[in-house]
Amino acid sequence: MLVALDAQAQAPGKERAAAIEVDSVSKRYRLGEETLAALEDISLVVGEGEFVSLIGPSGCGKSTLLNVVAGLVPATLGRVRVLGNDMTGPSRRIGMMFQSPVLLPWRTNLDNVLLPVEVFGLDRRKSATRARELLQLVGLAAFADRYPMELSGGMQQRVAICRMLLCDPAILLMDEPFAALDEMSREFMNVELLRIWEALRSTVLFVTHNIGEAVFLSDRVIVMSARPGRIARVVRVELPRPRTKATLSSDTFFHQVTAVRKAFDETADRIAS
Amino acid sequence: MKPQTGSLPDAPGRDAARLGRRDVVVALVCGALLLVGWEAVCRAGFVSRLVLPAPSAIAVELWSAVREIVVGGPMRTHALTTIYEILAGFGLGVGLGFVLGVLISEIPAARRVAMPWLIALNAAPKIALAPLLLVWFGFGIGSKIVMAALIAFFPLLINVVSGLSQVEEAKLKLMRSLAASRTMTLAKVKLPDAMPAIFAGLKTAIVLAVVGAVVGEFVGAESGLGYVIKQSEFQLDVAQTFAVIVLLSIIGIAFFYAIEFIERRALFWTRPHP
Ligand SMILES: Nc1ncnc2c1ncn2[C@@H]1O[C@H](COP(=O)(O)OP(=O)(O)OP(=O)(O)O)[C@@H](O)[C@H]1O
Ligand SMILES: [Mg+2]
Repeated sequence: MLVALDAQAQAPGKERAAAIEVDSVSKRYRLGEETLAALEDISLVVGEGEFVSLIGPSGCGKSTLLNVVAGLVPATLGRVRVLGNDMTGPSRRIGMMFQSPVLLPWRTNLDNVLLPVEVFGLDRRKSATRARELLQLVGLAAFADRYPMELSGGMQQRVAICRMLLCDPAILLMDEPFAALDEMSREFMNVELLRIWEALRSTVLFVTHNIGEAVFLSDRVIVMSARPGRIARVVRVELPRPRTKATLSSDTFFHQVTAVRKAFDETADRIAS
Repeated sequence: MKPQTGSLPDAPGRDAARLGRRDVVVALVCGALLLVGWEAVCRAGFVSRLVLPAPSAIAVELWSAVREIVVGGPMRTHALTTIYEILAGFGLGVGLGFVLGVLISEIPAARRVAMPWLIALNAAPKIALAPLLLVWFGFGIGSKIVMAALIAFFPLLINVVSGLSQVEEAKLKLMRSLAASRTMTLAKVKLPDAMPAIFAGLKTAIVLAVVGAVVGEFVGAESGLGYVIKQSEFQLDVAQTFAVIVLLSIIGIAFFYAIEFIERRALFWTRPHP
């Protein structure tokens, strides 16, 4: 069997220590008099060095869950532990990326990459070498001293990747980082991201709408259902690593995508009925 | 009044606002025709020169004023006095407006205490305070500086507050995800992002500072271009009145464009292409 469903897929697998532990988390937003249940009793564990994707229909609470893990939004109920510590707020050990690159237009690309260093009050000089290396790694060495407005959307997202990676965060939280890109650029960015990640092996929680993207990148795909946001299925992806562009046209990849799509559709059907 | 911070390659508003060469020619021709007509009306003796002097008479007065300023003479002292009042008032008003604007934006308690007062003060006709200021700060330049500062203060304050409140949520979220302190967020993101709004405030403030200084001088002074205007009125020298008004306009325009020049250089990212 290519796809291990649910029961076996729940755990991060084998000998991994837990990097992110979400324990019975619920989130309700207050909208005037009413409350909106965005997340309902979510529990999940992401192991150290594991790449996990969250997929689900729009509005099912993926961003909310990511923001709770990031410490940007407090959970209404339940507990989040990150790297063994209870979450109390944003942490320097977490790197984030959003749907838009959010670069500061008055800073050069290099200075944008260096933003975390300045915020953390670390030595800019020492980090500048590392920042240039990262830009080199994503193929933007020539644009280090140029401004973001001179770059395409995909190139801007690559600068954002460098900024996220600069201070070597142990955990990466990415909220649909490539959703705004066209199919070709997105595929390219997926391959690039994996190439970089293979070297770092940080823990990743990755939100996406795209089943192919989720399968290609992840060790496990978590399928969420909407209103209230719940975990519907967890699918383990059995694709050998390192994965490359060739993986995308392999039969195995195709079967995995079909399996996740089935899990996704079953979830949608269950909601419909 | 959302400051333009995006990096759209071709913001249409900018091109539309920029004058084409043809527009400049048309504007100059219209201006020249107006002056010729004005001159003709005065030469024909339709209006008394005590009511409306001919452009040529104003030009003569203006020329002598400018020469006096260049080679030295009473007019130079008057011009320098007024310029000093404008700049000192502008600096004072803008400095206070900036500091208060930042405090109000960053500290909710300060906002609750100060905002109602500021809104009331802003609605008050500050020019009407000029006679009082004369009593409080004396006949010299002090009362003029305070007058200029008082009316230059509000546009800057308001633009700082609105600029700081319109910072893109995504940028703030980025800073929060980095666990950045308030001051760090203010310095690295909010203030730079508010710069276009702040510069718009500076340009309004400098124009108002000129008004403030001149009004201050009208109410009571012994030096300055406003004082010269009042003197020339007593002497029924209307041509000189006009000449000084032209001079004041030139000073105001020069300051305005100086700020705009700095803005273009400093806020390079708001331009379509660097
Ligand atoms: N700050 C907020 N205040 C109130 N309600 C919110 C807030 N943020 C999100 N919600 C609501 O919570 C629910 C989940 O939103 P969330 O943004 O987490 O969904 P999502 O899965 O990320 O959607 P998408 O795929 O469209 O990004 C939605 O119904 C949304 O309207
Ligand atoms: Mg979302």
